[in-house]
Amino acid sequence: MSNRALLEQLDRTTEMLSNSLTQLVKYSSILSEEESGAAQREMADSIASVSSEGVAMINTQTMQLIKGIQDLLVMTRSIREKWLLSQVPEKKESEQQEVDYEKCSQMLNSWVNQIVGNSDC
Amino acid sequence: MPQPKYVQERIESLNSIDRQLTSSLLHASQAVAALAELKRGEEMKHQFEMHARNFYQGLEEATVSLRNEIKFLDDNVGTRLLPINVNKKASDQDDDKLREQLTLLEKELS
Repeated sequence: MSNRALLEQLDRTTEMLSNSLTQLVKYSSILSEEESGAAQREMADSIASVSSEGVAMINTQTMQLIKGIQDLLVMTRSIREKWLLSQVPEKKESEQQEVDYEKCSQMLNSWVNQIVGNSDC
Repeated sequence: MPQPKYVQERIESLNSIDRQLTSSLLHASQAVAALAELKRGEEMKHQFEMHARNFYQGLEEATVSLRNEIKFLDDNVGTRLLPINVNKKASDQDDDKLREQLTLLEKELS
């Protein structure tokens, strides 16, 4: 279920990333055309509004591009965390544990004997 | 703590995806820089094309590998990984501590 959400997010982000460079190029060319057209018309107000709009759009698209890559990096990080933090422990450890318990009781017994022996003296 | 080989492979592959993503961002920035130069009338068209192509290529490779990684994650839930919604307690730490104490006891006894 969670993986399906990851796939959807990946699709959305990829689409947004591939669009944002196209949009960036598109807005920058609109900007240059509008600038040259406006320069011919010599209308200072429209130049200011068109260029500021263009700059704002370019800024937005650039931010989207960076944000999209960041989102994908966060996704790889979360997958890495899943691999590292939610592993099923391997069976070897449980086998080792049983041997440990037997050895533990033996050692504890001998240790208790040693201490009791020492305290008696 | 050393990880199993399969997990190591997955982490290596995720690292390479990270590298691809960052390099495609670099190509995007270079493409935009070339575009800015293009507007000043310099012959940067070729460079712009190259960087844009590299950006899309890098993005494609990274997203395809990322999709595969999500699939691997999906396949291994239940065998190598716990189901995602379960909160795992750090139960291994108890055993580690126990083993540490046992080796200490062994040293004391010998």
